[in-house]
Amino acid sequence: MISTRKTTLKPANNMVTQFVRGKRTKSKGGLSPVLQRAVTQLSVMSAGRKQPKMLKLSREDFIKHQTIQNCWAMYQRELRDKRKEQLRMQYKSIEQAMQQLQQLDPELFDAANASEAGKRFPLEMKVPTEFPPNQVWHYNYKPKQD
Amino acid sequence: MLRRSLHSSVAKKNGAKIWSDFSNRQAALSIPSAKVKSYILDGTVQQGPPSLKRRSNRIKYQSPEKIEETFKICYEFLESRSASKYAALVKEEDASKRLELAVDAERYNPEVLYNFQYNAKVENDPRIIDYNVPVYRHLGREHWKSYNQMLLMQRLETLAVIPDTLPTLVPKAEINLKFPFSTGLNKWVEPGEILSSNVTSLPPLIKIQEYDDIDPTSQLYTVLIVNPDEPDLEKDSFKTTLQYGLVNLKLGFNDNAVDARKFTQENVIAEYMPPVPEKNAGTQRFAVWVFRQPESTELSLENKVNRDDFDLRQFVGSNRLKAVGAHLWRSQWDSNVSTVRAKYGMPEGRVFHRVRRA
Amino acid sequence: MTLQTLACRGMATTLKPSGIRAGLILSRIPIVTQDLSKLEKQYYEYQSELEKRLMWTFPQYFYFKRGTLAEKRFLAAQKGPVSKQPGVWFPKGVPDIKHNRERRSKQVVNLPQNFGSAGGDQVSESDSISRPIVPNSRITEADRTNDTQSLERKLSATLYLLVQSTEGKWAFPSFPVASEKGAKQALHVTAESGLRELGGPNVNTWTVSSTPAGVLNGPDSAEFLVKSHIISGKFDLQHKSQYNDFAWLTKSEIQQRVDAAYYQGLSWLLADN
Repeated sequence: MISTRKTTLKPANNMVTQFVRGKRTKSKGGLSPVLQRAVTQLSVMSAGRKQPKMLKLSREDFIKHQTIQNCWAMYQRELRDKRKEQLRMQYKSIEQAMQQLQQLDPELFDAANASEAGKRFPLEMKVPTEFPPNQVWHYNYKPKQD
Repeated sequence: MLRRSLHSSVAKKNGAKIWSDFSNRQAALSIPSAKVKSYILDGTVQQGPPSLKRRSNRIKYQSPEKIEETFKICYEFLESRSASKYAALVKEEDASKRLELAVDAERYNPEVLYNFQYNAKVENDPRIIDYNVPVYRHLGREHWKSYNQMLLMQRLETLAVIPDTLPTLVPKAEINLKFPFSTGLNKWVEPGEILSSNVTSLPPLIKIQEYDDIDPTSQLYTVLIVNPDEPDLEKDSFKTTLQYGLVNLKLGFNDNAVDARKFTQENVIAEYMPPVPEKNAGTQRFAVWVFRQPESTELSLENKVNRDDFDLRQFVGSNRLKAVGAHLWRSQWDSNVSTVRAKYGMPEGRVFHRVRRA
Repeated sequence: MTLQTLACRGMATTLKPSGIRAGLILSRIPIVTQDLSKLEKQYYEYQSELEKRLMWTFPQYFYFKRGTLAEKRFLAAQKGPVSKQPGVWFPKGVPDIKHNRERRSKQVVNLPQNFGSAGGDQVSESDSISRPIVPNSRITEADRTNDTQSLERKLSATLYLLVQSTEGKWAFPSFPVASEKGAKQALHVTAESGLRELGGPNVNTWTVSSTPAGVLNGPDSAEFLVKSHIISGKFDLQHKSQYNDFAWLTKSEIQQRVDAAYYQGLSWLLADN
């Protein structure tokens, strides 16, 4: 690999002019455009010169940062607990409803308990976005005639 | 209790500035330096962070953007949660739950975090880190568990102090060991370190830091240092000798360094005998065991212990001791041993050879 | 059949209410994302500032070819950093510049603005590619007029359909399940057809499941609640004989309108936002 590169470099260095329309022929670093492009490509990939300085916090600011992160973790934990509790209540509620339905009307219970395999999620449903679409709601829905 | 009355009065003005009203709070929950405190809480930024010593560095320093405003909101949020913990604490009767609430109410307080992170934890200043306050004990335990506890257990197991001396250990208290005299080392000994016999020629200072919620006024401790590697030629084996034995020690959460000031002759069951390994006897282990004595019962000094052939398990069993912490160091023969032997009036040591002579 | 179910069946006859009703919780899911709380907003701002501070230098030479007009425009828009000068004292620290970026702070990348307007081509403002993006408002006309019958209100919250009975009580719509042998239908079918009868046929809904999500026990009937989403179409109250009025309400608004006992029985079935 190294040997091949050497052989390609040699003529490129010797070649002083390569005629490209609108291009400065005397490049500053003495590199040919091909080589210059390769250098640019490599410098795009290389990290060293693009990285910012390390963030060094003073003791006070580090404590502040920790406090912020602690607060965020606690906030998220509270949300999570609330969500979990609600899901637990919903599950309990479904269970209770189904038990009562079984007692009251076994026929309806069987219908409510039937397998729903193959049921599709509606394609028209949208994920919430940051800003509303131009037409917020589609009112002119007509059921399919069959 | 003092703490109970204190919290009930705090909870009356529930939701108020619970972390900044120091009329009823321990002083250790506040940052002692007024400059640092106001920089953290009020964000006075005219001169840069006070923890930077050089003025030019203070001027050069740039805080991350928006940290100030974000911190204010987060501080209020955490303070409100703390207030609700204090309110629950007043109603709670169960001791362990009370402790948990007392820890939860303060564990995110930035002042407490600052005090704990940037001050000496082993040689603590009780005005800054006061281990009587539950939250500092909690932070101390977490800090200990994060490294030193694991290191101790690893050393105890790889050097086979467990189970050569006692079957196992559930560590509850942090033990630190130091040889403070002019001959000694001015540092805390890492568990398992090999020390010169000159260093260990005078008794060690043992620091026993309890993190559990015990009553320090009634709890008594026993400290035993044993050497399980003493050659026993008759049995063609090894025997355990008792190097040092202290009983009925009373310790506080902060004042817990066991040295000559902490006990009298009545606490000593075996005077300190320095490690003097004999030549070619190999490296010997010196295990420090710390026990909690059963509820405020003093051990009697009447029946003398046999320190030359000491049965640690029997001693622990008969006195119903509970091991809470351990430490160990190692010693081997060196050129200082004969000096130490002469100092303590011990006989000349034997010299072992690869082939046993008649 | 186990003994336990037998016992249950036996018990059922004693507490059997006279009628089973199918209630419908019809919801409109949020159209825009949730409003951020003060804490969330501040935290995200702080994190994005940290991210900018730690961002790698923008590789402008990769995006703009050297010597092109685009590069010139881009460079003109940048506010360059203060560079190091010999013999000058920098109290804030000596500048550390690489690739035209001060490495100790964040890099502000300005995009060249409205360079297209100087051109002579006659493109109308609305068709131009370079026109600024103006997002639609998250607050709609229905919010301003507080039109509770509109589906376009409170875009960031889940709305639920509530109806007002002739006695003036607000509740979720509920429909009796036919008890005759031939006409009996599953709960969700009853609820769906009931909704079409009540609000007209032009409504597109998707029932989440045929399993009821909860039950409300009245003095003489048990109301099984079925969850459904409205996807498109319009709910128009057809005949005012049974119900007076209808409204699309959020959870907190529902709490204000309905009886406390009614709300307590189903509060966990409703989404907070």
